[in-house]
Amino acid sequence: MHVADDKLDCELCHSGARRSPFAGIPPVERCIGCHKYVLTPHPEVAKLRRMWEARKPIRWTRVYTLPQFVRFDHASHVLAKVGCETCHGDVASMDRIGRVVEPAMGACVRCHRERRAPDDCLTCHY
Amino acid sequence: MIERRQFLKTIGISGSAALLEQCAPTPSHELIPYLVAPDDVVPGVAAYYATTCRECPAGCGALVKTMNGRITKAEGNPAHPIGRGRLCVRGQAAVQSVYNPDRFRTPLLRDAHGVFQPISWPDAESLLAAKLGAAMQGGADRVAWIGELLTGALDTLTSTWLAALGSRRRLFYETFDYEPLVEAGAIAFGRREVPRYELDRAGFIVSFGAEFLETWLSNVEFTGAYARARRRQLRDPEGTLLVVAPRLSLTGLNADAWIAPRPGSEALVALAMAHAIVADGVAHSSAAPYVRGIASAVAPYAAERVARATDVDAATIRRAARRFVAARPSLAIGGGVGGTSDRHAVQLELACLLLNVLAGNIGETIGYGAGHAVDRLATRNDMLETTRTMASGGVDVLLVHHANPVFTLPPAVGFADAISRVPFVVSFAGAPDETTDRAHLVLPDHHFLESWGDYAPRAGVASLLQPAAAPLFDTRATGDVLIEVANQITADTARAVGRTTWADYVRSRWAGGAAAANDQAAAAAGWQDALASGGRFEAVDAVRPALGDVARALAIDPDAQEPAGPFTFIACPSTHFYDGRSANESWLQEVPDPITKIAWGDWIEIHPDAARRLGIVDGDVVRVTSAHGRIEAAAHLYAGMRPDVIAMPLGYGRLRSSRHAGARGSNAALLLPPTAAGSPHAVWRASGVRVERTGPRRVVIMLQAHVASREDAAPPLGKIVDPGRADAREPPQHPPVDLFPPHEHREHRWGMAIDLNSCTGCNACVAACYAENNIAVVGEQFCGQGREMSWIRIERHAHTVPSESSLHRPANVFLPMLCQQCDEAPCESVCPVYATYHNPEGLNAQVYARCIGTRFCSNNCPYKVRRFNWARYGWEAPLGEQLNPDVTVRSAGVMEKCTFCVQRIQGAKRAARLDGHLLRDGDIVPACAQTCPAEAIVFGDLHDPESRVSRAASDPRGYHVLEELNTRPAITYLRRSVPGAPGDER
Repeated sequence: MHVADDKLDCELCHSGARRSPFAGIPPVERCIGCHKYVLTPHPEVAKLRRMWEARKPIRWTRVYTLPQFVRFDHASHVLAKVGCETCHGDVASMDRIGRVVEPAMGACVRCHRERRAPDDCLTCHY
Repeated sequence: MIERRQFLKTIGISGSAALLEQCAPTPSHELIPYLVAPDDVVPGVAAYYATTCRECPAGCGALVKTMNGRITKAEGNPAHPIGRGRLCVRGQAAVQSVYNPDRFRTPLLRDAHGVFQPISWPDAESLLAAKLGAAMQGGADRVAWIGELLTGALDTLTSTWLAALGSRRRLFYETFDYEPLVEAGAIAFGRREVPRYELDRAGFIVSFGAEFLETWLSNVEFTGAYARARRRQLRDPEGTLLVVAPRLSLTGLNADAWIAPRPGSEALVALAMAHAIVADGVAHSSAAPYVRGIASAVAPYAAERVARATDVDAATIRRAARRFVAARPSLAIGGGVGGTSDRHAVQLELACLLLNVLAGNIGETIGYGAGHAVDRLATRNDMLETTRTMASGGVDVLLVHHANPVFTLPPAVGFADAISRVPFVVSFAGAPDETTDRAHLVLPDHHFLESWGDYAPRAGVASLLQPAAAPLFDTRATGDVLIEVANQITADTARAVGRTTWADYVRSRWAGGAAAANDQAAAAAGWQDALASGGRFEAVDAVRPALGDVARALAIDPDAQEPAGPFTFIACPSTHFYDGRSANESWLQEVPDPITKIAWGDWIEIHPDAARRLGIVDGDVVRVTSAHGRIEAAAHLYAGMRPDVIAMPLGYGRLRSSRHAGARGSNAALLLPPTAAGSPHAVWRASGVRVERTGPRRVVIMLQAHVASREDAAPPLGKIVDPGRADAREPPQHPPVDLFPPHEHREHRWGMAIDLNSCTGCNACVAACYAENNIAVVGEQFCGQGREMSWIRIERHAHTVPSESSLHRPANVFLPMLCQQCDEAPCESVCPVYATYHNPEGLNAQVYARCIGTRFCSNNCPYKVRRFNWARYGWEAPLGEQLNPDVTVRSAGVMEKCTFCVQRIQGAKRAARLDGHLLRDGDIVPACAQTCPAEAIVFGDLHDPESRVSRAASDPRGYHVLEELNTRPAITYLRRSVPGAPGDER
């Protein structure tokens, strides 16, 4: 909804994507920045505002995860103009994010070979 | 309708997801963001804070790397004049002490049964205020402070605070003081200060036992300077450093020449050198006004006259003297701790100052004007006096601040007994030690990496301390405690100290001139600059003092010999533990001692000749008895000293039950007298010491069993080269034969050059590697089985170069050995699962996830640099907080080895990509190269002809280790220049 309807850029909230290995989850402060005023009657927004007042951070359930022996660097992929939906699916069409794309190594290697990125093991496994 | 394949896939995924949840807790099941993100933290990107290392009085600047608010690594601060971007082994290991599992977590008060119980900060502070108030009623000077060396804000605060309490009893106590040097400066030049030494400007350095590469004064600074001097002097046939001492410390092992006088006669050697210079009439022109005075002062000390007392022949002394003047500006450095502290310590320092005057070194390699913080240290006499006062009930409240005199003072001083007579002892220590054992109240200070503060090792270097992370435990800055307590005692003490926070106190004092002039903007800018750069650094004008009359102070009997027999015992500062303070850091226990390669335990050094006479072999438990005490330890045969000398490192025999330091070894200080005989100074020697075998033997863990180089190693492949032949390139002996086609490295080929002429063997790189790469500590037992995990190790190779009468050649090479990233790696071809292979940039890659642990690779490695995880090694909480998240933590059954810090290579590539430029030479710096104080390790792209590493690889001194095996390593070693090294017979 944030993507499809409000046309918000992914990086507005996941701001680490451009400069860090981790895209990051926005601090609650960022959510409240809009939702202090936007759509306040909605039960989820009310929940958000209650958590902000209680000074409790949101515990998001992780959807996209890689095993510990893989090191994925978001910044390089954002720089290479790999669209977020390539690995995270068509987020615009989802009300709630789901794991629709499987981050299997075969997909990574295929894309790396197609786009002439390094396919050396040490790129991601060190 | 759903496709069957997709259906099965979905089942499989959700099934395995469910399984994953039930398995070992996956850390990333939830994502928890900040509530409000701090400005300077980007998850996944490190933040650096400039601060100062406080492991010793050198005061090196440090940049502390933090990830998500946790301290993971310490680096040197390149902008800082002390250290210049490098840290020593103790500085690198300091990150372990932040997460020391034995740290105090709350304030503690001893209860009626003598057991520490937690107490709240408000209760603790009001208790202390009450005790201090009562002490004040008793009169002046009832409150005493013994603490670490302070300058700047905390110096001012404690001075003000104690004055408000009516006390002047404040001692800055450091285990190793420089009193003889300071006194000599006062006698010779009227300047009661430690001079500034610039070793890199010297053509020849003579050290009378000063351990300046390990522990003396400012080891990182001096190592860098010495290495620069060595590089400049590469082709000088006489070499750069002469050590005059009865025992070779690590500094001595690095020397080009060694004279071993009888213990106690070092001053006579220096005086004889001065005598030779004036007798030959070769003093420098700048010394002309003083030559007559010096000549009469040193008249009794002709080289022939002192030959018997010193056991050094006259010709050697004359030769050294001639060289000292000819190679000017030279530098004579006086006595160190273990080597030469005794009753003639002041005379030795004076003699060195005279030598420097005669060679015209004053103002060139040695200068006055900047002073040093250590000038203000308590003397041994001060400590004795305070001990007597405490013992006689003259102190009601004793405050101990980051000092451990109960352990570090020789027991003969009687401090342990005296402190038990003090009714109320308070300690600000961060972790338990022998002195907190005698304390009633513990008010734990933050770790120095969590602290605000400042420290100025010398004038012109105002070094800032700022917290790199929030305090881990419920500790409180000592400054805050002092301010709070002062505000509770009386209205007068409250007014004298004022009401502010410690952080504000530091900041307001820092602004200094600008704040005083009410220029707020300049003050704020100055503060921001200091936070960013780590301090305020200015040049200080040197003074040119005139030499005074020293004759009276010199008086030594030229024929006197110390009452020696049968042995003289030397207690040496430890390269790793200093005086024992860092003995609880497990890296420092596991990384072997640079000289003996012994880990996890102490030893007593005995010369092989003496050992043979007494029927002692390595590992025999021997008893050493002096007039003051007796200890037992395992014998270790060491040829780097006189046969009438035995030696032992300090820092063992800790009584505290800290898990690594406690109950391990014996305290060498037990054998020492309270002062040198007939002198007020500290002495780290005992004469008239007896040694005997006790019968039992002890297992000593030596990580390198053999040190002597093979006599028949053909010189062209050896590690040393005579200075005269340093420009001659030796071709490899065997023509290359290839079994496999060559590797193609299209873009980069990473390589390294290690200059053995610069490496001093200090182990800083080893500790840095442990910190950077999450290397596990395996402990004593596994070390004994050779299962230590260090990716880089320093090998000591002792070559034999014949002595010339009293002049010996230590000819030691310290060789850092790490994965050579071979182009023709023997390990790659034998891995059954392709877990190790040659990557397109020249690295020998090790993929942990594929490794199944056959260990065939390490079997095949001729350098034995591959380390296997024989068990699942752990990190006792909270040591796991130090782990570097950029490096995988290996589990049991997996092989690991040096990766050239591949995480840094990838990080630099990412940074270059994000910044939009190509990788430049110097963008990638592995941890070992970054910290090496001697700048011995260089990393770069061998494909770039302009890179430093390419230039070094084509150096005539360059060679590959085990070149004849045709492994084609990516690391080129540059031979060490050793005067007298055997030449190529071909």
